[in-house]
Amino acid sequence: MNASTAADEEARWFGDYSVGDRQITFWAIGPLRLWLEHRPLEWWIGWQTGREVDDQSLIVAREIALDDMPETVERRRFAVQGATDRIRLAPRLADRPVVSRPRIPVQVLAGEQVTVFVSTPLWLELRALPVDRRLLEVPVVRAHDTWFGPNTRSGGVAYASFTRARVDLESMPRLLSLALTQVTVENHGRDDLLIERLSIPAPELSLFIDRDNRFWTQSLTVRRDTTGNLAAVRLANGPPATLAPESELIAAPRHNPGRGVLRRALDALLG
Amino acid sequence: MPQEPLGALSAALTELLTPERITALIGSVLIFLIGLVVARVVSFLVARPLKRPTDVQRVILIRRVVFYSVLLFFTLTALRQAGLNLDILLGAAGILTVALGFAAQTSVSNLISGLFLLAERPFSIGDLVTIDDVTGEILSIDWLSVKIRKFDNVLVRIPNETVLKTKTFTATRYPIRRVDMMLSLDYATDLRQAVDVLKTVTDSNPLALDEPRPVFFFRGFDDNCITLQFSAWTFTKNYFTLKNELFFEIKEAFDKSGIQFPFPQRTITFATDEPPQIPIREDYP
Repeated sequence: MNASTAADEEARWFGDYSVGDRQITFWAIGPLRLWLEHRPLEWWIGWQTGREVDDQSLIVAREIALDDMPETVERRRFAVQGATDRIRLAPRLADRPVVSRPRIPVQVLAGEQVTVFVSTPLWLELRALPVDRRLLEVPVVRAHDTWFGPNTRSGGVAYASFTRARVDLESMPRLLSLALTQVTVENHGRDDLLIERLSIPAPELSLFIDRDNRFWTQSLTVRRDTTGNLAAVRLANGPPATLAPESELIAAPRHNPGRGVLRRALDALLG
Repeated sequence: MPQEPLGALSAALTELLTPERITALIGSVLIFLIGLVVARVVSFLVARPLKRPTDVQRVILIRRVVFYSVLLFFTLTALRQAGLNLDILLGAAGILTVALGFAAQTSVSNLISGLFLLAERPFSIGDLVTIDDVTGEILSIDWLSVKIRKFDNVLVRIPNETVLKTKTFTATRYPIRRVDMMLSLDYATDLRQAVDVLKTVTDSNPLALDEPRPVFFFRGFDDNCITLQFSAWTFTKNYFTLKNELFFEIKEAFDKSGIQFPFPQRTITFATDEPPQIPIREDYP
């Protein structure tokens, strides 16, 4: 049995694990509950995802009895040729953009810039080893669906962030199921820029973890051009080194962002 | 004498079906059959690069136009091969069109309506629609009719002309949709508390969109209740799931908060100060 709490700085719930044959093994990762059972050439997976983002439960690979598994758990079984008792738990970023709002809209004056911190929900990917086949992907915390667009006809599907966009990192809650993104907005337009909401392109970002086991994405710089209608989003190589010391890459982006610069209409980023 | 007419027919056939004519007829049939195959292949090849799930109608329209254009070309070539004078045929076509127009008025009307439907695209195959009080999924938009599968798995055929004339509602046109619920609240209900409870319900259901925010409309003081419209947005694919979940969740949340749905009530006021005389029947069984 391997149980720990979030206070344990060394606790990392992801990585490669061996699961005993026909033995149910349990994980609690924030609001996510996960049950794994290995059978010859087969994996049985049960899971429950909640919305309680404040849930800081952390239980890693605890062997439990079948009776301890709730009946209401969503279950699926996977037949995998070449699978052994080894499985990989890998954190991922959300599969849609994440929209965050500041508590009070931020007005960036012409020629000025502002840096805000935004949180994005984590997902968990399960891969059968050694064949490295993806079995399942589930959200660690179920974020609210939302719509990001100028009207109800045009726009895109997204998730709503659990936290407000904040300028002060210290005021961001340190939560197990969220990753942080530092966003710098540079206003090179001739007029002021009002930030009422911000869309983070999570599928195009990499995921990192720092020395203190805090999840980060690479930093973004949104540069509004002089015409005021377009924006270039520059992706840094990693999170800010001063705030996320000794960070290491743990998940590549879902979609390749190309040369590290995304060109978007300003409306598609700042609503 | 029966021999005579048969002999005359035989002579006429012999005169008509000369080896040259037979060769020309076989040639024209072959040209028509080749035309069928070519039209099918060309229409498929032209439409293939355009094939996207959202453009099914456009692909169908292009395929049909290409198919019939190619087939018409081969048919005219085949007729010319058979020795028919096309100038006379084209001259007769005008008269034929008028005659056909009268004879097949309904079919032609549906045919033209079908072309308009394909061009206008008020809905696509797979859309959820309500047409002429029929609600279901669009299976096909054909030359003469639109086929709809109702939710009870019954196929409904609606003539294209009817579709063009009547109001159509396409529920799956846009990616998001609003779930509207009419709530009857007791006059004793604290409306602000009810609205807070409803907000909590949508805040805890991840299928209800964070934006656009849920909205409330006060619909009026009715006979027995205050009517409140509560509307939450969701992705179109989640519409029915959210609607069902909200019914359960609102009922549970109202029960927990002591908010009641009213029953019909009547307040009776008597015109006099005298207490009403209510006769009691002694002989009631």
